[in-house]
Formats: sequence, structure tokens, C-alpha cells
Amino acid sequence: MNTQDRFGLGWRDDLAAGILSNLHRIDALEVIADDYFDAPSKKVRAIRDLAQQHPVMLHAVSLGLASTIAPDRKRLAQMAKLIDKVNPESWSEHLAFVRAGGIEIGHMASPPRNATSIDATLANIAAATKTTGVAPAMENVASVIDPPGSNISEAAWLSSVATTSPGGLLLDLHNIHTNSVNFGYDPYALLSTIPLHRVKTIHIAGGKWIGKRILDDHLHPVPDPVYAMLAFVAVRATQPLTVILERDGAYPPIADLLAELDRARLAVNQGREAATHEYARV
Amino acid sequence: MRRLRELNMNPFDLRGPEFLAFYAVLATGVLLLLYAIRSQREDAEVLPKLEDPYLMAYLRDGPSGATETALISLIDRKLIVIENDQAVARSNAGVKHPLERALLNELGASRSAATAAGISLADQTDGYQAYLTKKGLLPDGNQKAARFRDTALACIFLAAVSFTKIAIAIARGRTNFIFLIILTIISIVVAFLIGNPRLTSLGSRVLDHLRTLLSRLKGNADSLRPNENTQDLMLLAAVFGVAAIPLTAMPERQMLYPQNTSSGDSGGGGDSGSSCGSSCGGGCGGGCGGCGS
Repeated sequence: MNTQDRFGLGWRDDLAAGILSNLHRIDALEVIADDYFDAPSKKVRAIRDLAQQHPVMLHAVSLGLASTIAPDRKRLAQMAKLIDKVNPESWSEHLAFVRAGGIEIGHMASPPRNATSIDATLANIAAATKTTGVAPAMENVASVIDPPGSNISEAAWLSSVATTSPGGLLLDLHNIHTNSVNFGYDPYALLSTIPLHRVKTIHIAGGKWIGKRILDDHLHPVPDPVYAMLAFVAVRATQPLTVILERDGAYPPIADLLAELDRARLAVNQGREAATHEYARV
Repeated sequence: MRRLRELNMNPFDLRGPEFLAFYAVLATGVLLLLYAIRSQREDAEVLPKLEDPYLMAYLRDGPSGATETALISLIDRKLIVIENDQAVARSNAGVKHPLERALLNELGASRSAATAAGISLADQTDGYQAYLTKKGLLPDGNQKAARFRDTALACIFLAAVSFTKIAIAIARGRTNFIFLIILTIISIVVAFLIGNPRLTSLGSRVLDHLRTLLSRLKGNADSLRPNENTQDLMLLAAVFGVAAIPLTAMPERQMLYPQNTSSGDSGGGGDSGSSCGSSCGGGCGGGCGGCGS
């Protein structure tokens, strides 16, 4: 059980050299599970050994649990097998669908935000929990379009799933930032609404502006508003948080990523201090 | 019992070729057992963490490996320059790492590149040996004693079987046991190699683990450029050997290690595959940009 705030990186093979040389500055690692579904046993063993040395979490991207269709049984079985082999600290998936009508869309799409999708998502999470033996934390996703067929707000939809889902919410702050810009809402109002006590892990990342919208491409440094939101969450979420910096390409020197982690650490510490002062005033 | 006697189950009564086959199987079994016992004794559930490239290099190749890695680091940082086949040390001001300082001191003002490449700082790397031994990656005194005991027992057993057969053969007036002697010598040599490697089983696992995790670095080594990726070059040299450093990343390697220009100290192998590694949807099926994850 994690008892203090931690700051880690998404494991990418391209970052391996920098990560392995700086493990003392990286509290936790998040490994993309799907990269290891069909990997040679040697690669899986290496991740298993890494998980024994250092806190490792698995992050799935292709189960498509936020869908009215059931998750692919083969992929769920692969996930269960990987969890069994690697023995990670926890695992997570996205609140998105990735296939429909037998077509893989190659993208994590936001589902329509309505009661039907909430029920279906919770049923799929339950199925994933039953198959793997461990409840996944579910991550909010970014979108450039407002999902058609929605009749409730993002905050209400997220709150319903996060409250009931046994693994809680993996809070991606850049996705909140992206959606707040793309759809013109106040991100702090959303963060004040959703059950932050159900959050154990937070993702931070950077994207790019396309006109008046943001694309969450994970190829750029974390923007200032994300750090501000991180401090905001740290004020309100009293439980230990694990903050993971995601970077999927255009890799900078590892020193730059470590500096971003330091900045995240500072933001969380500032939030914790602010929370302490708030309690002191009370 | 009569049936067993009819089947002639005493192996020492087997004829020459049949006994050689029997001996080969027996020796293989003994060697596998020797390997299994050592592996079981020297392994551990959790691998120790190694972050320092010099420790990794020492694990791979002892003092030479660590010194080579220091040389690569200093050259890439332009603290040693290779000019006209001479390794010329620049100022050591600002160099804090003891091994790097020792290498600069050992190098003096200038040495031939070949001489510089051959420097091995054993005294300055004693600490690495002690650390790796403490972590169970190199054998300690007790493990060495156990290795010697097990290897000696295996060799004595293999030799005793062989000598018994030879004695029986001589008693029966036969002298065609040269192949048995050769097979015995080979078995004993292999027993020494299996029973006494430089690394413990745990050490081998750690090195293999590092090579697997860093396989992408090796596979993408051609993209490295001089004076830009010192840490990556150090890790390449440390874990895979200097031969893994492409000449495009360090042209000086040609003069320093001419014998290593075409072959690599492999293990782990390159992995330049693009497993995407992103949080993008649909199992990376849709590219890595704009995934909204």
C-alpha cells in the first residue's frame, strides 16, 4: 500500500536508458500492457523483474471498456495473463471505446455520456475485474468532439462511473485541460464535482494547439494549467497520489522529463501545504 | 533379477561405442545437475537495482569494462581527444567521478590510442567488485568454495567412471579407450566452465535483464550523434560492450578498438521494432498522435 505521494514516468523503450540511470528520482513506472500481450517471454520477464525492483503499474489501451459491447475476451485473457506474470502494483484502462461493429477504430473515443453507457461501462469493468482478479482504475479521456448521443455532463458521467467502479478513477489532468478548452467549461468546476477521494493515480502530459482546440498528443511538455490543476487536486485529495508523466514521442533528454517530474512534485507539495494551512485555519 | 542380468544392465559391460553413448548421457546429466545446483544456490527472487553505468560495465567485463566505459564518457565529453592516433587528455577540472579522474591521471598528457584503450584500472574499481559481490552478482568466498566443491565432486565422479571402465578394458586386454579419455577431458573442462563462471546466476540474470530492457537503445544506436548522448553511449558500452557503439556516434572508436569494428559483444540483440508504447487507442493501431488518452 502506497503511503506517500509518488512521481513517476510512463515506461517507453526509447526512454529506458534514461529511466534505468535515474530510478532513484523516479518513484513509479507505468508500462503499456498491450505492448507485452504478444511479446517474447524474455521481454515479459524483464518487466516482471522490473516490477519486483520498482513499483510498476500496467496501463491497458485496447480493451475498450466504456462501450455497450462486451470487451474482447481474448484481450481480457491476455491482460489477465500479463497481470499474473508481471504482478504489477495495479492496472488501469481508459473510459473509452476502441471498436464497434467489428471495426477497430485505432483511437480511444469518448462514449456517449448517458445512463446506458454508464451501465454498460460498469458491466464491462466488472467483467474485466472478474477475469483479471483485480479491478482496474479507469482513466478519463480527451476528445476533440462532444460525443453524440450525450445527455449528461462529463463531470456527472465521470462521477457516476468513478463512484461505483471498484478500482476508482485514474485522473488525467491534461485530458481535463484539453476537454475544458475544447468544450469551453471550467476545469476546476469539474474537479470540484468528481469524487477526488476515488483517485489514486494522476496522469500529466502535454499536447498541442490546433486552432482553438488542443490535441492530447503526449509529444509536448506539460503546460502550466495542468500543474495548477495538480496543486488544486492535492489540496482536496487527502490520500497519497501517484503522478505519472506520459510522453509518447519527440523524446527530450531525460533531464527535461525529470525536471517536469520535479515541477509536479512541487505542485503537489504546494497543494498539500495549502491543505494543511486550510485545516489549521479551521 | 535374472531378467535384468539377461538385459546386461551393468554399464561397464557395454561395448565401446555403447559405453561412449552411455558416458555422454551420464556426463550431460552431471553437468546439468551441476548447473542447476549452482543456479539454485546463487539466484534470488528479486534482482538488485543497478543504476550506475560503471557498475553495469564492471558486471559485464570487470575492470576493463568499467575503464572502457569511462574512456567512452570522457571522449564524448571532449575531455579526451583522439588526435593523430594519440589520446590526449584535456583539463580534468570539473571531473568529479573518481574512476574518470583516475583514468585521466593514468593517461597523463598523451598516450597512443591503442594504449589508452588497453588501460584497465583494477585498483580504482575494487569498490565495484565489493559492491557487486555484496549484492550477490559476483561470487563471494562461500560461493567460490561451494563452486569448487561441487565442481571437484562432479569431476571426480566423471573421472572415476571413466577410469573404472578403462581399468576393466585393460583387464580384458583392450586398449581402444582413447575416445573415452577425450570425452572425459571434455566433460571435465565443461564442468569447470559451468561450475565457475565469472558471474553468479543472479549476476547473469541482471545483465540479461539490462540487455533486454535496453535492447531498443541498441537497436536505435545509429541515431546517436557525437557529444549529444553521453549517457546513452555509456550505457551501450557498459551493457553491450564498446562494439555496440556505432562509428557515427563515436568515430574515435575505430582507432581505439579496431578489432571491434565489425562484431559486437552481443546479447540481448537489437530491437528496433516500433511497439508504439503510447497510450493511444486500439492497441496502437491508429498511430500515436491525437489519441485523446
